[in-house]
Amino acid sequence: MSGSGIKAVLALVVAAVVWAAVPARAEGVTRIQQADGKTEVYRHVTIRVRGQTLVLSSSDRKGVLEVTSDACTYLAGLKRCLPYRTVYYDRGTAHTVVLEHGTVYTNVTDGPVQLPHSADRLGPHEVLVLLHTMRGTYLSVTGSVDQIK
Amino acid sequence: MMNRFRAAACVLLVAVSPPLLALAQRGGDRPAPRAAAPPPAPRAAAPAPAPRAAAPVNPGGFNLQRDIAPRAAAPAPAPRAAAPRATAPVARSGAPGRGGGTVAYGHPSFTANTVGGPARDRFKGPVIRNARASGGNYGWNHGVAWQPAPIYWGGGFWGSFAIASLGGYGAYGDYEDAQDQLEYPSYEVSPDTPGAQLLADYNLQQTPCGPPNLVVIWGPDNSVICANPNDQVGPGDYEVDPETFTLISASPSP
Repeated sequence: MSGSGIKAVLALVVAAVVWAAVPARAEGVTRIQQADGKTEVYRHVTIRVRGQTLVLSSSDRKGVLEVTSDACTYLAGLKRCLPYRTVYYDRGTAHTVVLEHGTVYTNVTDGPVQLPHSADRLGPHEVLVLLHTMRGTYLSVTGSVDQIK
Repeated sequence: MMNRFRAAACVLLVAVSPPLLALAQRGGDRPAPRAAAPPPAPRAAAPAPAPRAAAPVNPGGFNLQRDIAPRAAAPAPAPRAAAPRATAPVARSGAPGRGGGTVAYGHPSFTANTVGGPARDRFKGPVIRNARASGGNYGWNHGVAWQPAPIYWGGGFWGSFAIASLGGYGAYGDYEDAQDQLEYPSYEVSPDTPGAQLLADYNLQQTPCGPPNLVVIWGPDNSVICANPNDQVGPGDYEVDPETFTLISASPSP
């Protein structure tokens, strides 16, 4: 093997080691329960924040859900907002998902915070999105924010 | 020479294995059905409605096919003889949260004309200072401006009452406007909301709307709640100033 070949292999090794050492992001989990009870859980969902809009991307990048909220109030380290507009981009095509109601909690502190009326806690800078659509679908998302624009 | 090839093969194996391992840890793109404990549902478990037509197979992304599918044509509603009911923000064109398809969502202003019900042009009376609210604009909300969210009664000021299912909450009295023949239904204020905080700041106790001589407080989008008068707030119509979290009283009718 020539010297340049060995260098290329070594470079590949270094790159692979660095790539593996970087912690995997996009650890959001989305649970969708259809009106008929069928439930699916999606892992490795990327969670981005763009102003008052949460952008949730599926791991296969074929689906993006945008949830826009307002009426935000703050209580004991939690930011609580009411979502009112949801747009689902199915392979780039926008569809409005008509919401009945929902809540978006964001832990704005560096420590865990107890959710109101719940035994659960939200980790530092984690979000919890709870939606109920007009077609009877329940959707929940938990995870840390991957990016804030 | 063979040893060199063996060494190169070993290095290649080392180079390729971490990405493969990482890929295995990260999982594939497809969702894992019925895995891991789900986060809490917002309410009680979903009702089990009659099964609809089978949804198309999910081609990827999130399975929201039922929610984005075109809605079947609904039968024409039967005419109703009841008096018109002003469940704000119905007064706005294209009320969100109703029907399917693309909906244009307005962003109502707290001080738009949809605030104040029949007394909307008369909130020019004295301001009753909120002694408990923090100083500065939106000091009560950590300095962050509060904007109503369109699909909730009162923009969510009094609680997360979905306009689409207001009938399920049970009205807490009605404010009747005899002149316009309109009824403004009221609902019980939820704890941990701006509305609950406002009532607490003024030591007000909510009571069903309807009887005379109550404190009538108008919030966003023609939402109205009533309270018993006390030594701080006398009977009459009031509007909420969201910036200062104060009550502005209506000047007397001409």
